[in-house]
Amino acid sequence: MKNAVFRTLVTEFYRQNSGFFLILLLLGFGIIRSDDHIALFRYALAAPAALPYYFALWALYALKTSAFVRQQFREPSCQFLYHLRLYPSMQRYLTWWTVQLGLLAPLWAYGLWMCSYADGQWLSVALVLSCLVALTVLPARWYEYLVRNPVREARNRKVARNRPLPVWLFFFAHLFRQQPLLLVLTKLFSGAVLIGVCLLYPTDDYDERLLAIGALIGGLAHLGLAQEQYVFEHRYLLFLRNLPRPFAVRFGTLALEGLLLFLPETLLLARYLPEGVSAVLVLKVVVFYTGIRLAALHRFYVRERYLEQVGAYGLWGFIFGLVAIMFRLDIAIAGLALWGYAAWVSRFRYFASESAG
Amino acid sequence: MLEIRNFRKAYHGQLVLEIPQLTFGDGVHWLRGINGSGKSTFFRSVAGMLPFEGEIRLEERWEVNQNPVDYRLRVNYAEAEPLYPAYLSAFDLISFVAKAKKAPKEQVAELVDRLEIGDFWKQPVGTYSSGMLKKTSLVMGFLGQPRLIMLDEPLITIDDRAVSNVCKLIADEYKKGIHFLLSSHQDFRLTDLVLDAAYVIQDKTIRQAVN
Repeated sequence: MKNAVFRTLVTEFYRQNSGFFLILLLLGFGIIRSDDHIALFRYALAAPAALPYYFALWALYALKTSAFVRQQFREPSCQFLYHLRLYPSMQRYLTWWTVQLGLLAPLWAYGLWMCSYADGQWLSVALVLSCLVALTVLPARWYEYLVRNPVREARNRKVARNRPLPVWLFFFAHLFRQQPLLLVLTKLFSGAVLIGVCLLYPTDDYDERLLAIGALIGGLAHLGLAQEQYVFEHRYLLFLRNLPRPFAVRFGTLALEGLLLFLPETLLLARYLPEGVSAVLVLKVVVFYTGIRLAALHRFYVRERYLEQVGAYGLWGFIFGLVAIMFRLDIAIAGLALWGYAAWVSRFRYFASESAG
Repeated sequence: MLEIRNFRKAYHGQLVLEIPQLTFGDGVHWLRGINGSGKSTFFRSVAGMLPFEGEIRLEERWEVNQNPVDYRLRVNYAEAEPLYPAYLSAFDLISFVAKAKKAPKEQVAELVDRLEIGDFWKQPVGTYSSGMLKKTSLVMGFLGQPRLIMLDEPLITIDDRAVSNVCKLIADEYKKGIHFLLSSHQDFRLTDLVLDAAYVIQDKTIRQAVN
C-alpha cells in the first residue's frame, strides 16, 4: 500500500509538474547563478530577519504540494487511498510524513545546502531546519482529515436557487468549489508581480516595457487555469461538443469568462498604475492577458496531448515574449494575435478537434 | 435517415471501428455489442463529440463536420454513464442544454414531469443516485427538436417504473417523427418498445443483425 500511495501522491506530483520544475531550474539556476544563491542565503543566515522571505516561498511550495494531495484524493481513480483509514494511525502518520518528505525533497535539498554555509550561525540553522520540519510534519493533520472524511456532500447554493446558473459561471463554480488553492495562488502570484512592477517603475529610468514584462509573467501564470478549464470541460461537460452553439456564442462565452477572470488584475493595475503612464496601457494589458489564456485553451482544444507541454509553453512563451517586448513589440498587437489564433481555432477547428472522448 | 460513408475511427493508431458504408433507415434501431466493441465510440462520433475519418450525413442534408451547428441541432445523445459537476444541479444543466438546443419552453417541464425528476432537479448533482443521474442525462437527450436521438444504455440503473416511462417516451417521440438509435445489453424485445431493426457491432464494424 505504501508503495502505491507514494507513486500516486509523490511520483505523480513530479510527473505532472515536470514543466514547472524545468522552468524553476532554468529561471532559478540559469538566470541566477549558484554564486548569487550562496551570496543571498549567506546574507539571510547572517541576518535572520531576512529568512522569512525564504520561508514564505517555501510555504507557497508546500501549499502547492498539499493542494495536489487533496486533488488526488478527489480523483475517482484514486479512491483506493481511503483504504488507508483501515491502517493503524501511527502507520498512517508515518506514511503522510514520508509522502510529505518526498514532496518537499527540493526544499530539503536547498535548505541543507543553505545550512552547509552557516559558518556557526546556529540560530539561523535552527530556524531553517524548524521551518522544514514544520512544513513536513504539519500537513499530515490535513491528510488525516481528508482520509477520515471521504464523502463531501455537495451543498445547495445559497443565492438565486430558482434561476439556473449561467454557463459562463460553470468554470468559476468549479474553481471555487474544487480548486480554490490553484485560483488563490495564481491570483496572488500574478497580482504580486503586477504590483511589484508598478512599484518598481518610478524608482529608475524604466519604460512601459517593464510593465509589459509584468503582464507577460502574470498572464503566463494563468496557463495552469487554462489547463484546468480544458480538463473540467472534458471530464464533466463532455456533452458540450454535441451542442449546436455557434462560433459567436462559444467564443463570446470564453471571452466573457476571461474578462471576469482577470478582473482582479485589471483593478489592481488601474489602482497602482504609475504616474505618467497612459490608462490605455490597462486596456492593452487586458487584451494581452486574456489573449494568453484564450490561445492556450484553444491550443489544448486542437490536441489534448498539448496539455502535458504546458510547462514548455510557459518557458518558451516567456522567452519569446521577453525578446518581443525588449524589441518594443506592442503587447496590444501580441494580444490581438493571440485572440486571432483562438478565434481561428474556435471557428474552424473546434468541432473537428481531438477531445478526451 | 442517417448515412455513414468511409467511417474510420482509431485511438492512438489502433483501429476501433471501420464502416465502409451503412444507412440507418427511419425508425427505432437497436445496436448490440459486447463491452468495448465500440458502441459508445460510434455514438459519440455520430453525436459530433469525437473526430473521425469519413462522412456522417443526416437526412441527406446535414453533414456532421460541414454543417456542425445545424447537424447538432438535430442529433441528440444521452451518455451511458454520465458525469456532471457535483455542485451544479440538473436544473442548471438542463436549462443550459435546453437553450442551446432551442427547446420549446414547455418541453422542459413536460420531460421533467414524465421522467419524474422534479423532486430533486434543483439539488446539486453530487447528491444524486446513479438512477437520478441517468434520468437527468435522458431528459437532456430529448431536448429540442431533434430528428435523431441516440440513447446509450438507456435502461441501466433506472427502476422498472422509469424503464416503462422511457419506453413510452421513445414510442411517443417516434410517433412525432423522431428516429432513435439505442444501445443496450438488455433485450428491448422484453419491453413494449417496437423495434424497426437491430444491428450488431463486432469485428470492428457494424452490420444488420439477422434476427
